[in-house]
Amino acid sequence: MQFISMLLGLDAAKKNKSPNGFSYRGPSYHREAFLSHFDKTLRGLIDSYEEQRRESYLSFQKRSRILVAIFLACLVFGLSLLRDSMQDIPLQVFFAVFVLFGVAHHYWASKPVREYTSSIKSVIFPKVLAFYGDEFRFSERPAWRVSSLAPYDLLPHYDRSDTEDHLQGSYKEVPFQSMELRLVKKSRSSRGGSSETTVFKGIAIQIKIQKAFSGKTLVKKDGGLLGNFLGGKFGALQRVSLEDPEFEKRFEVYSSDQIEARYLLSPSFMERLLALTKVFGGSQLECSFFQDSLLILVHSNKNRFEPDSIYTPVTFTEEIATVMNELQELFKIIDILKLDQNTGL
Amino acid sequence: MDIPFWVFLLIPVVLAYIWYASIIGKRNKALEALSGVDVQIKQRSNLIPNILKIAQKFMEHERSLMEEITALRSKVAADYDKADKQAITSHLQDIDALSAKMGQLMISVEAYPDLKSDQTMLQAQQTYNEVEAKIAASRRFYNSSVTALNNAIQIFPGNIIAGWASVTEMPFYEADEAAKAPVNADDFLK
Repeated sequence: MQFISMLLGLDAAKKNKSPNGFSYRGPSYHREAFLSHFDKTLRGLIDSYEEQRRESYLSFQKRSRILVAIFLACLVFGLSLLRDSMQDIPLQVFFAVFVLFGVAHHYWASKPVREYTSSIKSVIFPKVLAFYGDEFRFSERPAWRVSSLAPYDLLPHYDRSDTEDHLQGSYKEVPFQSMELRLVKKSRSSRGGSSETTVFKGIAIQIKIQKAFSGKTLVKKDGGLLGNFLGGKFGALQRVSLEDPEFEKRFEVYSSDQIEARYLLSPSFMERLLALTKVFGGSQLECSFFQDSLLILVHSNKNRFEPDSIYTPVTFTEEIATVMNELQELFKIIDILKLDQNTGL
Repeated sequence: MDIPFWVFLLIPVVLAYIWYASIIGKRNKALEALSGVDVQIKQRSNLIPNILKIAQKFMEHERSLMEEITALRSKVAADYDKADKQAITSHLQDIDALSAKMGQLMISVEAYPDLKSDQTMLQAQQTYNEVEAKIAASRRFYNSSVTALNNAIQIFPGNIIAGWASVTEMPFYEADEAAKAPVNADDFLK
């Protein structure tokens, strides 16, 4: 709907509208301190970003109009040319034209929007993070390699990985990093065609713990009787049966060290891990303890760290709330799991 | 097609063998878990002399408690017959008694401010807490393995097969009686 309004020039956002102003939607206990940080580092950028947004919007509108005009012209011309032999044209041709239009729209018409979004992510997000300290970093293109996660034995088999929005920082002296991750598996059908299936979509979070583990312990989602039997082969790792029935219902645990697994997954830690699933809105969690860190995978379709829409005047309200609330979720992991404590877990 | 008679004889033999192999596997796992408990107990035993050495400097009044700990430590470190249910029970009780006495010592430390703030004592206490957490974990592993073994040899025909194979039940590592007793708040609020 917004796209059609934009094409017809009915969208109010394209007009030279002054921003409504910033309203704080982060955690209430940071309010005063953050407002002061905002005045110092971000308020001055609102006007220039609003200017950039308007230019990007107008360029997006212009390109979209050109594309729609070309599409309609092709359609009319094609239909008039092939008026008599319409029935002979396979349906796939129409489908291919629509796909072509979609691809052109994504790569050419939406380019100004992508550039604007990228600019917000590379300039505004790091400035919001600076509020928490110098050790906090954000990058749209992660330097954290997916292959480095292989030793944790948590990732499903995949052929291609897409990553974005890499966040690094530390909370209560516990270093952590997270990124959005999508893993794709390619498969071939008997007819020779190929298809892609997303085998994981969500976030990967790595937290350094102040102790080294001698073994490896995996907490996988419970796959039911058959799923656990078929999928429960993790090399040298053995199944660990734990006492908490609620935990056992949701997770399957495998470890190379039965005692260490129980040391890590104490009754209170199991409770905390169950509580953590609520922080992520009941999303499925999986984790692996290996060497000196804990890797958590959160299954989620949500696209995190996204700036406000190009249709909305710049106030940074949404961007700041996004970064602060995402960060709060990461802090909660460390708090709920008590990963800052040196003894026990 | 006629199925030969020996096939019908073979089926129960194969099933009995699978059951037997499963019982032996579970017994070995329980024994492995018991060794796991002993490994952790050994770590704690190695730590006790250091703690006593530091405590001795400050806690002259707790001499009898320290002597009890030393005696229990030697008892826990002594060999025992892992095939004997009674010997295992007695060994686990000694471990518990040592844990209780060490707990008592750690509480007593609170009454000696100099000792409480001593850096080496703080470090020793932290390591001790870590070892205690690992003992609790090894205890859970042991109890879980014993549950699997006892279930397998109590359910028919496991009881018959276990009788042939001379596999007996193993005792659980339960919390000591003192830990299970209700706490009288008046004792602490005097």
